[in-house]
Amino acid sequence: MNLVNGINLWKTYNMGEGIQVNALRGLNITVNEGEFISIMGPSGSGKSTLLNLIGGLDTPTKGDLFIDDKKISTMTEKELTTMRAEKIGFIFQTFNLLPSLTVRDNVEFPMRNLTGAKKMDKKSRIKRAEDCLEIVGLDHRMNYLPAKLSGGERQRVAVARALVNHPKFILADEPTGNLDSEASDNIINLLHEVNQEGTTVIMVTHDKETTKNTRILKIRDGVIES
Amino acid sequence: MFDIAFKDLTSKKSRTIMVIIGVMTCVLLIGVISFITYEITDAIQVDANSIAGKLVFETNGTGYPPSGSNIPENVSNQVLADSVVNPDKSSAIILAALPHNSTTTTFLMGLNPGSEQAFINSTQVTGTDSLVGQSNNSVILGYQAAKDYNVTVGDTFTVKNEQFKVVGVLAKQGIGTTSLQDESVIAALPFVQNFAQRPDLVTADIITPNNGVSLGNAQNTLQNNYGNNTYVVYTQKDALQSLSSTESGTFIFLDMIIAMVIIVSAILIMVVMMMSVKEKTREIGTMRALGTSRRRILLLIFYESLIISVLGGIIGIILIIPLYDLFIYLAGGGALGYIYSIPLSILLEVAIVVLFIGSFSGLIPAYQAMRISPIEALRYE
Ligand SMILES: Nc1ncnc2c1ncn2[C@@H]1O[C@H](COP(=O)(O)OP(=O)(O)O)[C@@H](O)[C@H]1O
Ligand SMILES: [Mg+2]
Repeated sequence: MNLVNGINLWKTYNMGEGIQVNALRGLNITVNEGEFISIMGPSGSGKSTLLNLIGGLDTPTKGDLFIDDKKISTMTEKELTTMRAEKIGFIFQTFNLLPSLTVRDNVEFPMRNLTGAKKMDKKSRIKRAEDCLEIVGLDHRMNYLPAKLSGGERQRVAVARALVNHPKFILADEPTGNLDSEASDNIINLLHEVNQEGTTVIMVTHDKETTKNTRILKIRDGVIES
Repeated sequence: MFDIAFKDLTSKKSRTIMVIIGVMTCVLLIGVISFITYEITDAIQVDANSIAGKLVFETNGTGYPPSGSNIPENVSNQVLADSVVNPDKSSAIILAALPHNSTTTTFLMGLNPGSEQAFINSTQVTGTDSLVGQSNNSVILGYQAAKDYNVTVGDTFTVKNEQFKVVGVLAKQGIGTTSLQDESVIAALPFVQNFAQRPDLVTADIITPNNGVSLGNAQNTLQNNYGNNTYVVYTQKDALQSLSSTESGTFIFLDMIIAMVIIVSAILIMVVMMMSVKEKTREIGTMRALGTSRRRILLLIFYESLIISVLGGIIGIILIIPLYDLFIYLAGGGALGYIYSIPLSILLEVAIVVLFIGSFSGLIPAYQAMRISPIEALRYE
């Protein structure tokens, strides 16, 4: 089954004064459940734009995008928000942990965004957060504030945070871009572990090293080359 | 989101503390000003109440208290002898300013001995509340007057070469600022006429209607028989109006300060919250990307401004009494450490103001925060 199915996706940014930038130009993409995808391409080729669309952070200017068989290209902001909370785990190049919250609270945070039947009480949220921190090997850092952690540790917290809601897939935009090679290996290994458990991973990367055992998609000028 | 709002605030300690101090200062100002307004209002009420059920016969246009009024003694006597007047509970009075070395004013209040009740009413007294059978220079002091001259029953004090002998001291009226009675030195009428060098003149008549005569009837009768255009007959209501209009400028001024303070503190919180929302654009974008709804982002910022203003408000309310205490002390009244109790109405007013400031000033920043796009989370500089 296709987890992601994008057909003829266009994304046009209006820069004002009639100037338009086409970040995506009729891009097609399919991702199957359980895959580990690496998206590569030169700077400005539209990698982040594509990830924003798949992650429901933005909607395409033209074209159809299906996630989990649901058409998200025409979803409302509210529906997209719910989808992000329930189905997607995000990992950012700059970690993006919430600085005033401890490691535990950061990992617990996405579970607060669950609504309806998926809502969890505080106790089970904390239990789940601690379990996920154990998976990434940071159970000894639970009460730390993010500022006290190294870059590699912060990104591991981000991986734990991406996992807590049992997402359909994890989106990672250059997750190793700010890390040294050891920390980088560590994160990639973690992502593979997660992938082995059945979670689909879609990662943007510049580093060929990180793409071993993944399906590589090359983007150039807003379309997928190969 | 409440706990996160709280943690956000504690992670930016110095800024949060500064804003809280700002709000606290505003609340303090509002509280103290409201307190002053409250006390002035109370004192006005006490003054007006002291002539409840009575009439004041005085020169037209002098208002209340009738300090500028002058009535020839024979006119006064005619009025007091009228059949609508209860002679036992009515009296001519003469009012003269009495100098001393404090900031408050003291009045020398001359009354016919035996008719002191027309002015003293039911105020508690130490010593005697009657000048009947006392020596010529005997006086009964109001609460504030006794303080100003620093005397008690049995003492004497001298003003303008005249020696006064204290035979009674009255308790304080009401809880507000000092009333006319509090500031009075009550003496026998002829003594005051002599002291003020105004023989054959009185200031006003305080009149209680005779049994079976209504206040309105008595007022009309006296006005028609003796008023002409020269004299008027005041009721409690007229006195209240006169007293209030004297203070109305003060009230408007104080209300304007309160309004300004509310605006300043609302803007203060708003600007700080807007700055903080701008600073947290990436964080808020991240929350949105992780699936936090707009509504809950709105709540987060709203809670932050509410927490700041409520904390500032609580500290402010706690400090109102000590500050007011200090204020009164510096203004020359009372000793430091006198505990005033805050009336519930002021607490309520301050609480409403605090909630208003907190919620109003959070609105625009919260709206700004709500509109931050989740894409902000991925924007790298
Ligand atoms: N919010 C935006 N407004 C205008 N142009 C944008 C915006 N985001 C991206 N772009 C433009 O779209 C193109 C693709 O950008 P992006 O997807 O970020 O590329 P990549 O991640 O591959 O470096 C670039 O030319 C970029 O300048
Ligand atoms: Mg990019």
